[in-house]
Amino acid sequence: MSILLLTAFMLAPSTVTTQVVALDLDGLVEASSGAIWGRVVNLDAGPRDGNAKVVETTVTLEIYGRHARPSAPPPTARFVVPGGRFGRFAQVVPGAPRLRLGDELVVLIEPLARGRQGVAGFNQGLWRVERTAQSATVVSDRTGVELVPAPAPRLTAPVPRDERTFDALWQELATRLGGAR
Amino acid sequence: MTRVLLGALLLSGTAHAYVLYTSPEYEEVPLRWRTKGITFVFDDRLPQEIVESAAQSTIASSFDVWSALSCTGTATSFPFQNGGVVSGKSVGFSEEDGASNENLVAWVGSAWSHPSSVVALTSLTYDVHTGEIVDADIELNDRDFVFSTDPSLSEMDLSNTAVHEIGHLLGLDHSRAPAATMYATAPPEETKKRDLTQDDIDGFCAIYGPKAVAFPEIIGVPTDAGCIKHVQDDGSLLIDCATPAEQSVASTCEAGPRGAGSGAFAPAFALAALCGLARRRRERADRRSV
Repeated sequence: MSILLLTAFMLAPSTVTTQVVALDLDGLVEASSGAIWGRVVNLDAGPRDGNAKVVETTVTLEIYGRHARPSAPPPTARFVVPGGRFGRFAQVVPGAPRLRLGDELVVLIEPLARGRQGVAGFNQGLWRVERTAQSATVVSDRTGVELVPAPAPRLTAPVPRDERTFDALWQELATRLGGAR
Repeated sequence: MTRVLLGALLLSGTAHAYVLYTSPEYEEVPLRWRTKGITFVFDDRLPQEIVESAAQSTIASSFDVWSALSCTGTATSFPFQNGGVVSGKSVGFSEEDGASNENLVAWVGSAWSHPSSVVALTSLTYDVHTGEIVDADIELNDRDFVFSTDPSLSEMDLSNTAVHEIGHLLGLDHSRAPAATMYATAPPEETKKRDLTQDDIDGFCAIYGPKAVAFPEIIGVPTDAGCIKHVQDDGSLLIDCATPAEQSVASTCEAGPRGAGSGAFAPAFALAALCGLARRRRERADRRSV
């Protein structure tokens, strides 16, 4: 429901001045070791290694495809996002990806400390796949980024959201990462 | 996770760019502190390029930016207490060890465990049923970025970063207004987030101003089985956890034909009877809350 509301909000004429700025793909690919495409089949919140006071959620995808740099091991099906619920409490980090079981995603993977994988750009390197009978588009929610540096040359024209066809994104990632589907 | 404000905006026809963080369990419940005013402390580790006193005073001043605002003409204060410097503390929240739950501002250094492109972040721990924030920590990524208190340097302006993160600490999500302090991105040398825009102030006032919605009232003990929620006349929530067995019935009644699938197959007369029973229970609960 939140995505629907978000979309509706962004399409409302009165919100033209509240659009967000997209960063380009170069920086995201630069930070990543590969890309995975799949559907969320498990969300497992638990204490982070090394600090039990911090909760993070391990996201597991059923993998449909992946790209890896020739020199890097292929990304695995799991990555972490900060936050998660524990009992009557929950931890959140504004700007971090918010996922649900069943979400179909394309994720640019960034290696993190202690052998973990995260989303490159925190949230910008994550696209949700939206399917209709005729097509599949990928959408990146640009509102979720968290103080990612945006040097002027990398700014593009403000757009309500980054949206393109799934095939176009997946092919572009394959080319940039030099991997194979 | 949802951002209920968007829905509210659509319904009200008023376009705000600010976004409040809400509890995923109760979309009407924004995350916020129950008491206006908190104490924060500084971790004793500092990056080499910043003088300790300058860093602390800059961050303390950044808290001050949010501490006294005018909400539709009404002065609304949120005092922050500087608890000084601590050592050996870690970010996060422990239910068992409440004494360790300082609201910490920390330079994380090589222990940074998030993507390298993130300059800083704020973790909020909250009660999922009430939206009450019980702990907040700000982490600064001095492993990948150089911070400065001098805006003339081509580095990340500490005040610019801190004022933004403190907005998160108060319960604000990212704004959709590029000019706002709560906008998500910040190029090096940017200093405009040091000062709040009206959009940022409006967001603060929506949470803490005189027209802010009251905290939910909870009847019974919340469990994972769920509770029944009612929006009261003043916009606040009554969360009825005393009758969890009826939750599915109530949800079906409230959701209507597009709600729970099981309702669509229930015999109409049985569903109507159950909904009537649930409604009477809610009315009794509503009377208890007045």
